[in-house]
Amino acid sequence: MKHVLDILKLEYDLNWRPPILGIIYATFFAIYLSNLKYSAAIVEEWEKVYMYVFEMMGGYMYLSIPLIAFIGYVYSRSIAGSISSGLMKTILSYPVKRKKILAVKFTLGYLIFFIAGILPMLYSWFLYGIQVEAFISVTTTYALKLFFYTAFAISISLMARESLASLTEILFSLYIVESLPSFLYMLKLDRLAKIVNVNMLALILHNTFTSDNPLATLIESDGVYIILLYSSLSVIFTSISIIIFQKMDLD
Amino acid sequence: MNIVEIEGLAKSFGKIVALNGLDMHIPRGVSGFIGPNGAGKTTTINILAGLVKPTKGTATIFGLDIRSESLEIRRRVRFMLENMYLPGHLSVEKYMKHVACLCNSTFKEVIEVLEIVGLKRFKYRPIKSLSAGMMQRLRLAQVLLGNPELIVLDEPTANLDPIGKIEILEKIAELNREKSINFLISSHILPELERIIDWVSIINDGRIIAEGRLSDIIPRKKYNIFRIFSSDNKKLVNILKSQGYSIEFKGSYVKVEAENHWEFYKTLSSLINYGIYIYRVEAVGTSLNEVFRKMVKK
Repeated sequence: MKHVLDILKLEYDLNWRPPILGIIYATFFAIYLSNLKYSAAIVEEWEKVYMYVFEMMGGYMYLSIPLIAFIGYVYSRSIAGSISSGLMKTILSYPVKRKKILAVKFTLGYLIFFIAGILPMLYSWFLYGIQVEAFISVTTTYALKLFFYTAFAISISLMARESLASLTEILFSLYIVESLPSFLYMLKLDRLAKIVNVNMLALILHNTFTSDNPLATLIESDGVYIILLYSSLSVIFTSISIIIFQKMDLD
Repeated sequence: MNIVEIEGLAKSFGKIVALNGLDMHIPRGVSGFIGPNGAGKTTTINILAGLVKPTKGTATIFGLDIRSESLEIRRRVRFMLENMYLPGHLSVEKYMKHVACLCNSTFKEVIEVLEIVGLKRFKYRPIKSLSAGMMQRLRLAQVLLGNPELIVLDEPTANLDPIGKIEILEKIAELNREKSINFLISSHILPELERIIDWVSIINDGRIIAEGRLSDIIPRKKYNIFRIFSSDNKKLVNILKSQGYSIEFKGSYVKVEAENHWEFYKTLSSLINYGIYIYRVEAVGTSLNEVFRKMVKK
């Protein structure tokens, strides 16, 4: 355990120094707050719950843009960049398992981005009071989406092995994933568009939590498919990353 | 018993064959691993470090298999890889503390090794502010942590000025003497390496072409190469050439290769008859550089 913490500290010092961390948190806050159109002071008490849900969902949607950009930047630097610079070789010439390095990079990035996404959402709590169902719906969706984005970005970084190529490929692919539902709606493939739209899960979960028959609501609204699709894709990409990294020649 | 045993090691990167059935045996002490650029030195070291997977063959270090016991090997062996990356934004001390954690070493040992390589007074400096020579010392310091039994160095004197090269090599010799650390040093710059190694393996085109004690590889005792400083080097060249000697005209002196010493001394004493005065004769012996050049040419 101590060894894992030591590698976590090293990873933090190498790739998540305060300026980078500060920029990520400030950007997430700024983008989320820019979506707050109403002040709690001018909203009727009975509307506050709806405002909370509305602004949280809306703010969460806007977070996709910086999330993709920062995930692309951080993993391109931390994985592809450290392979091309020789840093990865240096670390692996010491008694450290490759899986452990990958697990630390995944976990640290995941935690930092998860907290970065959740903190501005908690700000709405101070304005309107917390609405538990909405908060859980959005955070669960964000956690699933982040799992997929992180697993995807790591596998692309390992394949690219060069930071600029990795950044370009991650940004390009993840923005395509993000815009895929709109494209499918255009083709009138409404149900498929709904299933590939991970953001839709927040609304589905909210409806599920507030309905009388939660399980039926989750199944009828295709929430189960969204969860299954993104969980399995995340597991697949994580497995691909482990296989690539274990077999990789660091020449 | 040899500490490194390699049998039939092969590695290809696509169509490029980096190693082609390499057999290598390294005993305890300070050993040299020499070869021209692209001969396969770095690939061999990367395979020993578990960073590159071999296509064929076996290799063991201290009897541990590089495929199945790589983690244990990396506990006992340190690798200073070519152009090893150093994070410029960290201070020397902070970076060394991280490295110490990776190999279960202590802060006390960090200070000790910084003292050994002469970087203790720079411990608070950011790495990016260090000179190339200091950075190379830092790389050496980081592989000294954790009491390694063997240190593998890939081009340890690269990018160093002549004084820096001598300092690093003297430090290696001293560590071997005082701490009994074994070293395997890969290099293509031979004259300075020759001063500290006892064993040499010469690699070319992915194969070992010669291996053995330095004294067996280089026929030092023969002293069959001479530098002659004379009053008329051009005339000397013509005379020696006419007598069948292999010579090189170096400007201020003439380099002569003579198989039979006594015949050569007789020739030298007869030079006065041609009006040539001999100021100085140096028997230089055959250098590792020359042995290496001849072997690689073959």
